[in-house]
Amino acid sequence: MEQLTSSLAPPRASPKSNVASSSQQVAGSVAKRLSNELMTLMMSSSPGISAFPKHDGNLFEWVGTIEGPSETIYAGLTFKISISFPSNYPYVAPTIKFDTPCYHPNVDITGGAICLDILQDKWSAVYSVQTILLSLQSLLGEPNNASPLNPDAASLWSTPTAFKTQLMKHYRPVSESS
Amino acid sequence: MNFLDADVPDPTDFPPHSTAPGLRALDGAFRCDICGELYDGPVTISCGHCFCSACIRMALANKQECPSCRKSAGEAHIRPNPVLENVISSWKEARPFILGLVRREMEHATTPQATTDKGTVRKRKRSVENSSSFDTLGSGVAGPSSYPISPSRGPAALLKSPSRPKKPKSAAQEIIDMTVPSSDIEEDETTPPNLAPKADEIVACPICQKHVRYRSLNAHIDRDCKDIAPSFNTVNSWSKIMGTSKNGQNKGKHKKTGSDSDDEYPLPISTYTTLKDKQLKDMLTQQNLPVTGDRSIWEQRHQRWVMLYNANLDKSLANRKTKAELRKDLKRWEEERTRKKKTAITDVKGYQIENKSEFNRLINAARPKAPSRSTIHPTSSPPSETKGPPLLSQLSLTEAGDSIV
Repeated sequence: MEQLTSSLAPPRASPKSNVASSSQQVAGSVAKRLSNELMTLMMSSSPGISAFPKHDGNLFEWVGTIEGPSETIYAGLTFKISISFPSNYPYVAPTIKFDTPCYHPNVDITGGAICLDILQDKWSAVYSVQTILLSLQSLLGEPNNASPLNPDAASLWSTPTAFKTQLMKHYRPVSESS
Repeated sequence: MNFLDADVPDPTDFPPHSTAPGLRALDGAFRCDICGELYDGPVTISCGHCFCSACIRMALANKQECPSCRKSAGEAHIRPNPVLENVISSWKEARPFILGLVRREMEHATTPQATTDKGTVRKRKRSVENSSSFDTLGSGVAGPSSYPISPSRGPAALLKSPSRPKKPKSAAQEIIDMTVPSSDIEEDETTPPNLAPKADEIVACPICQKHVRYRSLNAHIDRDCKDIAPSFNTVNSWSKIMGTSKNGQNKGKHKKTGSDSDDEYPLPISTYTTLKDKQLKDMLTQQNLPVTGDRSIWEQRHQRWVMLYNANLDKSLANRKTKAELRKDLKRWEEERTRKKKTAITDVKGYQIENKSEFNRLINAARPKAPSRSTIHPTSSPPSETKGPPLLSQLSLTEAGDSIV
């Protein structure tokens, strides 16, 4: 949100506008990097994560799935997420949100927004879809309760049975969620 | 499924570690972590991490830290890495060859036949011979049979052998090639001699002796050898360059060898917000860049040009592009961006960023028309605020407003 509003500021009044325009990258090379990532993701077969472009011909919108890591409260659940790449990717982080409702201290239960530092100020150009998905997967098991997006979930985290009840109340299996 | 049809050369072209130890990792190690391509003009920053010059310049423009380790870094820390550049040039040549070898090896493994097996054996033998000639050349400590397991000799042979039938690319490689004994030339007879230079190879222009890429040689001659970098110039193009450069510090360029890159200074990074339109325009004309479009296009064009230009200087002379080629790259970049703009509605955020000046203009134009509602915050203006005449411009404004809320 903050990024959006600042991008609408008059170009010459905002010191950020300079950076915003500098980070524009060749669309062709972004597509190249994205198809490279897709290939890596397909070939590496990381357990429990996958992602693929939503539509043919548009490499900038992906849909991914994350399986809850075993031995966590999310074990056995699968979450669908959507990934949207900006035109100046990888210099700017992609926008990611949960499509499957995810009851989690750092996930907005209605909008699916995720509070994860590497998706905001700690983003780095060397991160990829794969690193994001792996981070999200580990975030499921190890939430950061200090900065909760869902305070209810954060306070319930210490009582797993109550948490699991809430989690299952909101959860919808992937096939129904779209 | 068309994404998977595209031929994307990446480390997974090589079989996994269990089949071909190290090869996939090797190809991965030669790639920039930002773009995923083989290093193009590799540079090192203060923490020691390597990136393509253009990639790290773009990243540092966003954030002044190493993308890999987050140590603080700036443009001033960028140092060219010519050794790695040489390695990459050699790897680019060796890669298809090694892939071919690997593929053949895999075929033998899956369909073991007497005849093909023989082929493998011969192949192996030859590579052993290769190494033996190299051994006598070098230290000569290890016997030939140690080649396949000796890790220290591997990369050296890899560096040398593919470049042998070709013209030298740089001084370093030239030295290696000069010391190659006659036995190596005999070996060349076993592989078909490749007489025609490759498109990317640097050849001397038959007219002006300037080193140009074979691919651009014809164009170079068509232009009467005039597109030349300052160091190899004729009087003609001299006056041209003197005319466009701001200070006449173009002295001492009568050297003929390619070592006088000292007159190729990087362009300074400008803060465009403090510049007047005229100044910015002058900066563009100074670099022989077009001044079409509005101010934001000028800024982006100049910024991108500075980036491309400085990144190009980080490459060794042989790998550098001419200014004309760089201008072509810049043009392609602008074309791709305008093409993207037309289809950009799918990428709402990018579309907004790209068109922010236009949106601002529309918002400012729309504001007086809207009934005065002082309580509404400008950035969170709901679509209802823009209830004016149903113009097309108003529609796009509504769209922008929607996605903000």
